[in-house]
Amino acid sequence: MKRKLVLLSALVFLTLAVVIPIKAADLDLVYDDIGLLTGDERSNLNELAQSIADRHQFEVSIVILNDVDGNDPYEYAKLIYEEYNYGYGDNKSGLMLLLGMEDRDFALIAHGFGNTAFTDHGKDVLLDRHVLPLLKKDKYYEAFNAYLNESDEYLRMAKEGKPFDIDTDKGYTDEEAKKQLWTKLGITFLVPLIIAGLITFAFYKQMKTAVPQRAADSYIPQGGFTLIRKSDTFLFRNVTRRVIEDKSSKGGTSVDRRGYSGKSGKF
Amino acid sequence: MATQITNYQCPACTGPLHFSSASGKLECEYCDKVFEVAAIEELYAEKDRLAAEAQSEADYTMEPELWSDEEAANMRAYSCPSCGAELICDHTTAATSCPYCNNPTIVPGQFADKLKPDFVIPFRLDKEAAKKALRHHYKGKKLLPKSFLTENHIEEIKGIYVPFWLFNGESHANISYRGTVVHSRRVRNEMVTTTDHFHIVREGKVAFQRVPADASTKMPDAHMDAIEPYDYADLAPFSTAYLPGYMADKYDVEADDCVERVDKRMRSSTESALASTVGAYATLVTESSNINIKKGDVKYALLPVWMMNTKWKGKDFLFAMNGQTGRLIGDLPVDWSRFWAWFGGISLPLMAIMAILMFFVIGR
Repeated sequence: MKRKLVLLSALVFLTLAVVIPIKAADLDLVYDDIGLLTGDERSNLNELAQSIADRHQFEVSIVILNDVDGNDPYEYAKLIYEEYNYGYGDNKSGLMLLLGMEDRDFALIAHGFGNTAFTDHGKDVLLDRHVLPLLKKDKYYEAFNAYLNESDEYLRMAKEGKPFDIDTDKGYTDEEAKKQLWTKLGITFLVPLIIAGLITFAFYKQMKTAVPQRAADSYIPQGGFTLIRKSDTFLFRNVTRRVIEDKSSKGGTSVDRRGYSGKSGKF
Repeated sequence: MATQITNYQCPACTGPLHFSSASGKLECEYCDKVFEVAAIEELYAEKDRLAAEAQSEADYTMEPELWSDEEAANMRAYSCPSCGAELICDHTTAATSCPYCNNPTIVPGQFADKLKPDFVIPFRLDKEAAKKALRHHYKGKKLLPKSFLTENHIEEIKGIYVPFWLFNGESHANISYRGTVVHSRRVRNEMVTTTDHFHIVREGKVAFQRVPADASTKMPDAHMDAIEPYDYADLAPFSTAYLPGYMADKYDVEADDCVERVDKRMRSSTESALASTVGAYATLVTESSNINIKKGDVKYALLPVWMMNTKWKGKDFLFAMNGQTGRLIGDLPVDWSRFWAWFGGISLPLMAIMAILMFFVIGR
């Protein structure tokens, strides 16, 4: 009987190991290489990240390094993601926030189901509204807490079939609607006022015809103008580059050839 | 102080002769005889010679008038050769009409020696043409008060030979500019803008012939400028025979006092002429401009102008018409209630159309 129980326990263990995907990463979900967080903070954040992984079968991770070894932060984040085996399940679903503290670099990458839950607009909002403002103030624990909690909410929305995007971002749609309304009102009132002003000014000008002459063009005889010298000398060249924002974008996620989406920058 | 003045009389009937703008000849309205300008000039030159001989034999002198110095400086008194009445004129008056017998009278002394004009452009358009042009000037003016058309009356209409200085000159200019050429192209998700900067130099000469500047303080400069240009093909050597029937003033603004105004016009035209040779740059800023005007000779000419005065609601309105080309100018009163009515009448319906377009057509 005792032997049977031991065999059953081993079978259950093996079944669970096969059926329930477990965290396979070589590093913690919240990995702090330089001691930016206290032990308690790191532990709390790891618990929260693990809870998200358990509930959503999705890894939301934070990797804090001293630097990105001279690499592009976005590319370096992908390297770490693959090298240390981040991501949940077969399709390696996950979201990673990587920080290189020396140059204050950041990168946010998504993979697998992360590309569905974290759209381009969603990632922008997550960073710009919730994470970067706190990172800039060196409020790291608060920033990571916000990152994990917001990610939890994004995943919940994605599971309900409505990922956070332009059309589901109430703040964005309200702001856009307001902007559009003001633009329309401006055009509706200003354009007619300008046209009416130009026409009535032309009428007014008809009434004032006694104006002094400013030039003497009528008194230049034919052939009276001789051009003696003409030179156009090139001095220097300026080149400016401006990123074109795709205003026609209706949302969604831009995924690269290796199945990642994301962005990087400085904070 | 009374001086001898002349009116041209018909050799056939002694009636007054008028210069006809239509025929370009002197006509007698009493016996309808027509005379060439040159023939009358010759006749009167002979008359003047005989009169001078007779004068040398006479030994009477005129009694001195008791004008104050200031009055004497600005007034002249003449005897009308037709009726003998004494004419009191401004010191610049060179041709006028006698208020008693209405005979056209010229004052040859005003054009003696260096004061004599070099050229004259005879009137080509008459008083009726001026009145017609004024009526036409009122047409199509959306802001003209309705009552102006009915209540204003031409107070005075005068054909005047206005004294002008005609300036010849040549400008030599050296102007440098800073220009840019801008190219934009899209490279993936970026707009790449290339701006090339250039240093541009233009040097040139511009000749000017007979740039006019009115030489009478009585004539508003803006009015005289605005009726330009004259067709100098009609410019004739000056003769007093063109003056009968019109008023004429001698200059009271020296040529030197007009130089600044003329220079400014020449400079402006020179800048435009050189700028017109600069290619299509996106931006062009003048860095330095060095223009020297080489002054040429100055001629004195009488140019024909019809001046009209109207009065409306106690305010004077002055119109001037080029007596050669017919170009008429003059400021008109503005009915501000009409102005705002037009403004509202255009803007409000446009706003309604734009609102429909913005909120119901495009915005849907």
